[in-house]
Amino acid sequence: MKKEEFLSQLKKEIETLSAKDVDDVINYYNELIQDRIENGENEEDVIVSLGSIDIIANNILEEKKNTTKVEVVNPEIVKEKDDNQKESKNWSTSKIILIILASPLLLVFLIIIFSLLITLLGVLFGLLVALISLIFTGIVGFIGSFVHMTISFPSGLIQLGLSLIIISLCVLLVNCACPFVFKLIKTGFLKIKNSFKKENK
Amino acid sequence: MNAQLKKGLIEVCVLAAIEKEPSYGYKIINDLKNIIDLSESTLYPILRRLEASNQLKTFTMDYNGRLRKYYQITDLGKNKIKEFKMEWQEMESIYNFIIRRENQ
Repeated sequence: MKKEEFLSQLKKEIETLSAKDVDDVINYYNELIQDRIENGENEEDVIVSLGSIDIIANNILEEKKNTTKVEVVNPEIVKEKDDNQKESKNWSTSKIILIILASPLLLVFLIIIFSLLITLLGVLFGLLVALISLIFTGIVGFIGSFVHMTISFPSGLIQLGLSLIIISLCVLLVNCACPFVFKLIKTGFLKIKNSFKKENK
Repeated sequence: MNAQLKKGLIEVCVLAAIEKEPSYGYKIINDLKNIIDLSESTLYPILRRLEASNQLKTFTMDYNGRLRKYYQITDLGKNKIKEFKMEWQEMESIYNFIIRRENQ
């Protein structure tokens, strides 16, 4: 039998293992057979000396089974797991006590967050009002500039330009900033809503 | 030889074979050929076991246009050899005790 044949048959026999394990086995035998051939041994003889593929595959599968069994049965590990579980239980009770003791602090914390939120909303509202007034200024300035031009053409022209700049700035602001702000408010609102829902549950 | 005892002995032999410098499958088998009965298919699970228990680590290196896997001993593996040497003294005194009993 040739090396490739041996390896492909072995691969078939151990295909219940993970791909990584199969690769590892095949690489191992491939390397060893290659080493022996390069050291002057006959390919067919090398394969024969390795013994039956069935036995090789069985040994590998058996070993794999044993190692996983040992991991489960090993009493020390089981004990360690128990200890870990106990520890986690203790931790959770101490956590509850901590939460109760810290509740006044938590209340203050919530109030601070709430006031910060209100402040944020106030700032947003202020910005909105500023924007609206800016739009008004632009529009009124634009119309007024024609009246101004009849009195003094150059200064009226300046007013026209300035008011156009203001209007274009407003358009830019509304276009870029507004969707962003709305999204922010919407997601913020949804998050608060969801957290309240969770607390109620 | 008792299978359990032999298994432990082979493990220490493999560790000793890679103690001085990293080695590869073919060389390990050749180095141990005259000392202990070790075939390719017995070596494989031992290497896997030693790797799983962190007594050795592996790396691959290019050799003759193909990859060769090298096995390198770790501190844990070195400790295992030390442990074995200490255990051996205990074994020796047990052996001496048995022999003395027989001679009496």
